Amino acid sequence: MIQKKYIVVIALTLCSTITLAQGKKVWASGAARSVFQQNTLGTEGDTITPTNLNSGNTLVDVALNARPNANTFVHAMVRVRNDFGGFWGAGVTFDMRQMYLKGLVNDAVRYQLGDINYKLSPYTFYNNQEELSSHQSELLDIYRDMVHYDLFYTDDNTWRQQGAAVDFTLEFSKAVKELQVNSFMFRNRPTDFGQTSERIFFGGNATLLQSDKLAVGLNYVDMMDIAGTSRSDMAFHNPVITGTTEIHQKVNAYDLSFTSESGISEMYTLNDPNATGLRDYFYDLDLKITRGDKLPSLSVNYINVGPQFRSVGAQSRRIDFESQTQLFNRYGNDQVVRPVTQLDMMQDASLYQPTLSMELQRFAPQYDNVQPYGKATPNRKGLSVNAVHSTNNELINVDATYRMLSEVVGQGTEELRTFNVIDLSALIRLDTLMPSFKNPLEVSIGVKNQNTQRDIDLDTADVDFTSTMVDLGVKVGLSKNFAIIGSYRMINATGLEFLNTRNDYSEIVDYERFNTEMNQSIMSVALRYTFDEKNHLNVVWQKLNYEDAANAETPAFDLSQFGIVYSMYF
Amino acid sequence: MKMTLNKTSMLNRLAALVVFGTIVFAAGCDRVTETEGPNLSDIYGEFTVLEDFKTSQADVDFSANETVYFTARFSTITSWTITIKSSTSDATKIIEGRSNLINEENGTWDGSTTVFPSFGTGACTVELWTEADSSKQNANVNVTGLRVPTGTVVADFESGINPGWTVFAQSGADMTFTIANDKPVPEGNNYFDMAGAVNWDYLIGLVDFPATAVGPNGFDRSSNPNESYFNAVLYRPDTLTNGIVLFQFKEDENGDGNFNDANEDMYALELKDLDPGWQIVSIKYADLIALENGQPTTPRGNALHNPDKLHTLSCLFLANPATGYSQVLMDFVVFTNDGPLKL
Repeated sequence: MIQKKYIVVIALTLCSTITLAQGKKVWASGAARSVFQQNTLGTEGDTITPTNLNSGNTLVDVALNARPNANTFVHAMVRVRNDFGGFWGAGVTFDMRQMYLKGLVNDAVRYQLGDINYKLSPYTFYNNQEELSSHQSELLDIYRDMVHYDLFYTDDNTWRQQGAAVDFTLEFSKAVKELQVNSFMFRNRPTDFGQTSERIFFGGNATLLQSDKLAVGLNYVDMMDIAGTSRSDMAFHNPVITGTTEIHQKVNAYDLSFTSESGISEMYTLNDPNATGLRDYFYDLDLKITRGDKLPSLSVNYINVGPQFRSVGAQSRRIDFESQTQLFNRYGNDQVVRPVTQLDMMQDASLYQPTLSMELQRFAPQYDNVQPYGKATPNRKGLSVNAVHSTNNELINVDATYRMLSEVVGQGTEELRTFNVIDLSALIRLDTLMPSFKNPLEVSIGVKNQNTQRDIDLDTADVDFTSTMVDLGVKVGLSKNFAIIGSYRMINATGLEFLNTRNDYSEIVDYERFNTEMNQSIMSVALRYTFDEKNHLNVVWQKLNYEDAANAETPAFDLSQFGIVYSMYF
Repeated sequence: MKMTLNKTSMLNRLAALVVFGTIVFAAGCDRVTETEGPNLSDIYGEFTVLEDFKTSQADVDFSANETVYFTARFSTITSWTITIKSSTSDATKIIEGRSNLINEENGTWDGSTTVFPSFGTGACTVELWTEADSSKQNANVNVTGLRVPTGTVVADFESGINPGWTVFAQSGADMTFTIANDKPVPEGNNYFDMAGAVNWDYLIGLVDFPATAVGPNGFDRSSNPNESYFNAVLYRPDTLTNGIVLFQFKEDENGDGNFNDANEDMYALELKDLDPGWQIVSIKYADLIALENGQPTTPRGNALHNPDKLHTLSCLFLANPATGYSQVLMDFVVFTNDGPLKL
């Protein structure tokens, strides 16, 4: 109650401040959203689980932005949320969503304090996209965008952290164009004054730009416990240092871009007699060839990431597959935990984590078995080829990738797993063929096939695991603002794989058989009214079907969902 | 044009240097090239029992600090469970492991209990279940003497409410802050029943155990917080999940015979989401933290753990006032030395 009063007072103060400051450098921004869902679960023979579940909420994020002087910017955002069914204040929550200030010192050094979105490179500090996030038709983005917004996930792969960041650039008149320097320090975990020490994540990047054609850089990050902040003398450390190169060259009519990153990592815990240190290296070489807009751009990439390469900032995952779904958490007459499906991954924010994780978290092979920790996935080497092409009239945009990877060292055997991935996505804009048709008419197609193989003398430990995802989408504009969008996505995973069980020090101590014959599909249809670019009303119907013939304890089920989603950013 | 060619030439050389440098870097770095993890054939090879399940001795006297261990050997690593059941009560001890060898290191029974009540003397049946072939093997052990818990007993509730304790219960609904004995008890015959519904406050009731009520040497702790373990045996009913038990450890650092909240340390142990049934809760004194409204905070005194200066142990029973009736049972509150309590 005190909290509510406090926030109301702040809100009133802000309103009056904004009113008084009209015409000055204070303004409001934010977002509003309202969601209503009606869900129906169908499981054959289930007489226990309630089959219908309705939920809904309205929330408003209100931010105060202030620019007290030319070099300072302050931002504070409050979230007010009301779950449907809570009248006259019941069910209302108030939260401080984010707060930061940033500015420019002496017209040279930029700084930011508070909540910060930050990234470096894919091997040092990088928020990899979650599984199934590519190839999504526009319809599947409706719920996914809400989750991303709530958790501060952005398309540029930054992690939301709290702390301080500073960056500046030095310009030179000879030999070198400029030196860009970025540094940060974030508080990852507070002390409990007992056995848990304060943990920070710090580092930075220095990039020397020789010209538009050549740049070399150095990245350094370290996750570490600060000695003396608790009674424990154990201190975790995970330093990673990498070097980067970027060379652009024109040869005849071809534009060549060569980029590389290589580096080493260590992970150890001081004063822990049971900890064994991990140390390894990686390198990543990438060559991209383009020749104007008429031919596809072609990229060839080779990676080699050691089995003991550990980088907390780059290997932390978004989805925690050990957590459980909020919607119909248990089902069937045995009330087993409902498996995480593509529908849950799209819209259940509780499956996602906003912070960095010290351990290599559990992943789900049915969704990604090849690089579940992004490019920094340890114990991978091999070649990838990528082609991207867009026709002149934007009729067809195609992105195709083939990956041929393997392990660097075997797990429990000398034999290596091999991984083959085919990844194809295309967007066809049929409206470009019909000049008289002024509204969007688009078809999207996505196909991803992953295969993992390992043949050893012991038949019971052979690996033969395949997953395939097919994603079809269509958008038909009925008027300037009104469209029907549809989507169908099917995921099939079959075969046997072995998941690693790791100890507290990230070492493999056991394996767990993972055998599946999973089929799941989601059919979705939506009506979308676009008020403007940042303001949409969607009426969505979806139906998910799930079955896993190899796991009788998880019975097949279907989940129907009708939803109304309104979102606005201002 | 000449300038362009020179630049191009320089870039080519730089590119070659970078590729060469990366190769040299990779070649110069160390990497462990051994396979990761345990050998697959040790886990997924053909399973056979190489040595049958046996006990190290037929009779065991836990009161004489004896232990009994079980042995078996398999061709591959598998998960296994040893279940020891008393023939005279529902007392059960479960030992679980995952290995291809069961021996003194991973298969020893020290007389402690997993499912209460505690074991009595008499015959016990012992069953080994192995996951690899789902087989069961049996053995027998005869208990001739029981474990004798060591340490400083703060409260076992066997002799009623100690007059030195302070017991306070709010005037809520269905309040119970008394000694009871109508459930199977882990130790002795009695336990303390904390229950009730208070719709205006988190606090339902509390019990203070001052050092003076424990004995002439108080809690009889050494000054080393790593040697002392606090233990309590608690019970949560299956259907009631809202109870919170908060133990507070109030130190008299200046030796004036009192605890001063303003400038002396008070450490805490907050217990939420207890498992259903009886369970032993243990914590090393050095691992206790100071709490303020449930959040870690800086202690207000010397910020050192001084078990030898422990003045009062308080047990607060709490629940969210919106959640209604709550209940937790408490038995055998004890400080042990050098390790957690085993019953």
